[in-house]
Amino acid sequence: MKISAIALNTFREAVRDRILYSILAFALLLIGASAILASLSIGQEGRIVKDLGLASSSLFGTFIAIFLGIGLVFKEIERRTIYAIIAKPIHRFEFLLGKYIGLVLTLLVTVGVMALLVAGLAWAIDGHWTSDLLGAAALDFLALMIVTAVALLFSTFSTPTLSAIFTLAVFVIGRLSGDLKLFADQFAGPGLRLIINGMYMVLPDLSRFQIGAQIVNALPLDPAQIAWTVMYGLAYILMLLLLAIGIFQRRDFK
Amino acid sequence: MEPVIEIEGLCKDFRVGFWRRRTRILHSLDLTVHRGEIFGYLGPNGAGKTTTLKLLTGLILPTAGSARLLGRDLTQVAAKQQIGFLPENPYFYDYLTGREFLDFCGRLFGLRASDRRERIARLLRLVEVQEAADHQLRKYSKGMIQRLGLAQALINDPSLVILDEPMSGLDPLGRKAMRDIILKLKAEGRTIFFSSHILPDVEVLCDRVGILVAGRLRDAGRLDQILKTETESIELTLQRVSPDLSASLRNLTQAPILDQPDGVLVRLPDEERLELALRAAVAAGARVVSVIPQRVTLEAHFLREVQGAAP
Amino acid sequence: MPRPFLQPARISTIALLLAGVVLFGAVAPLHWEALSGAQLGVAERAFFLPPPEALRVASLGFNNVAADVIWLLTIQYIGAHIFTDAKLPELFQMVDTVVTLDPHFVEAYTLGALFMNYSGGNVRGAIALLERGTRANPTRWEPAHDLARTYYLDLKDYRQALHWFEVTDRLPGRPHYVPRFIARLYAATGHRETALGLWRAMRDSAGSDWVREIAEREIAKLERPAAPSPPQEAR
Repeated sequence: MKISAIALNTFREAVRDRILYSILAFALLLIGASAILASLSIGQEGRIVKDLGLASSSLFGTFIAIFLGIGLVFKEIERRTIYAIIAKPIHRFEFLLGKYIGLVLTLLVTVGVMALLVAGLAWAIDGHWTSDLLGAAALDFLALMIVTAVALLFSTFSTPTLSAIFTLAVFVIGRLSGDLKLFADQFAGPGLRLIINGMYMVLPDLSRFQIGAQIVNALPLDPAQIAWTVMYGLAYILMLLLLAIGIFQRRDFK
Repeated sequence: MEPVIEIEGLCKDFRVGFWRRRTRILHSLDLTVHRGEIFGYLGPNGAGKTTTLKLLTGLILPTAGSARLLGRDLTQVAAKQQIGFLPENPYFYDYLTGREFLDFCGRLFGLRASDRRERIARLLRLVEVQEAADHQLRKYSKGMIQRLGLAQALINDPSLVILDEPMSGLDPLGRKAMRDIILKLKAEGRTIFFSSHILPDVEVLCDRVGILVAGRLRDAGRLDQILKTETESIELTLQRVSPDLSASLRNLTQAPILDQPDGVLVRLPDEERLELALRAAVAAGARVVSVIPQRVTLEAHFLREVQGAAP
Repeated sequence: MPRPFLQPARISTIALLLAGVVLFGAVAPLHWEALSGAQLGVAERAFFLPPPEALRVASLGFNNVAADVIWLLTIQYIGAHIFTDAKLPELFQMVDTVVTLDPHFVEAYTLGALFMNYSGGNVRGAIALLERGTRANPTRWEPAHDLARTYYLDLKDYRQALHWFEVTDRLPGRPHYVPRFIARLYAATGHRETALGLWRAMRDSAGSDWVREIAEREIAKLERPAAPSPPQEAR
């Protein structure tokens, strides 16, 4: 299948660019930091390792998603490697989807290994395996896929610098949008409330994908809420990809 | 001979400059390429040759007009199954090896693994890159990339091969090899459409040519019909020319007479005067060293067309 | 074509260096101070703690991580002062920041209240903190239990202690001794019959000998005509 050819090729590019070595380095960093932290708290080692571990792998994944995502299409056009591809019997949307899936695959491997490391460390400290940690990492990964799709969208028409700024802005607002909405509902006047609610609808609410705090504090999870969040995430990704495909169809590769 | 490429009224505008002013690059292009021929697409830099090729391969979208490739409209992706394209100064994924890249291209055509393996081996031999097949492309020289580019253009066994400046980056040996391959492709029944500004190669290879100047096709047709078959002049070289003969030749022919190290050169404008001069020379006992007709070269014709279009 | 500066390999190296700087930068100074016993920096830092809401926004949704970092700072603060001047004026503010950032960080309430009470001499503050903890974590037994203990041991307010032990009794995972304290506190607050009833039920349903023995001892004590003395417990 042609999409998988492009996806695997994109993955291969990331691997050959030695991104995966960074996982090993991250693992060592995590273990080193945890060892230090263990001596500083008075019994909260497990909690701190889980919080810090999940947060670092999430941030690291986001960083990679943004900086690789903004170049996904732009790089191919700028380096003109896209000429030999588009001239072949492949639809433009197949190319775009292939690049997206390739990057998601790369992120899955890197973030997945990091999440497993965190879970393993937590196991060593707690004495029991908390599989919910992987669930939290999985939901956060869906948020990561949204950020990747945003980066891809900008990559189809914007330069890397602008794309990075916009994607970072969407990420920050997305993480805060839950709080923003609360603030608007409680404190803002009708005009501002309309604007903020409008923004809330359009920009992704990434805060609802964060269940790490609930897992670490052993709070009960709401399966219905999670299911809605998953559907929201998938729908949002679909929308972004359709938008990206629409723009990409009309582009001239000069 | 059925048409393989039919271009009708194809126009392309770009937005250029700070004010993003709409500029027409291609003006209503009409062009046909027939099955089994080698068509040379000529023009000065900036004429719109690469734009035309990119329109044909779907890299850019037309502003107006249409084109059909192998009977199918431009916009249909399925048409590309039978087309091979070599872009100008190609760049390929430098982290892949030659073999991996060709395999990747083969997958994009939907070729089976066994077909891919067999064709890759054959093509690597054909373009003489088999020793570097398992090195990453970032280690390849410009010429090797160009040759690999030809290989990826042929991997799907295309009936139409489109080449944008195929000789660029090749040394004389490489150019000869490329010429031989192009002739071989024609012998296999394929159609070749290539753009170039190396006129000697075009003269040798092409059945038909088209000359594009400033986005307009100024000339298109069979090479021998475009170039006048009438000679421009005939150069006659004589030895043992006496001053009397010299003078009488000048009177007879009104042609310039030049002294050369190996004799006297008479540049005659047509065949009648050649006959007069020959008779006079033989009668005077001069020795005829050579009679060489000077044909109009493609270069001269080309330059004339280009300068004619200049504002 | 020259390779751009921001290649993936360099990007991930930079990302790692940044992560390393953040992790070690946040953590190493704390460790250094703990090692060297230097106190000044941490105590003074508390004065410059930004308001919790600002921190919450700045942590971009990672508020539980921010809570952890401030908690580590709090521990350092406690450690720096507990054996020296024994004054912890900033403790309440620091713990308040931690639980504002993560209201479900139960140990912050319990350990924070512990230090506020015993090291800082601020019982009322400790109680307020624990009450906040019960409101934010109604299904956790720890804050309610610590409230009960504080009322019982420090304030000798048996009525309140009883109330909070009963709350604790209903929560999952509560310690095994809670029902026995409830029974004793009923007796201590003058509800002799209720206490007897509870002890008899415990004696009859006891799963182990020593619980039955305790129940029988308490029943005997209550059935004696003399007024009961304040409860002691040998656990």
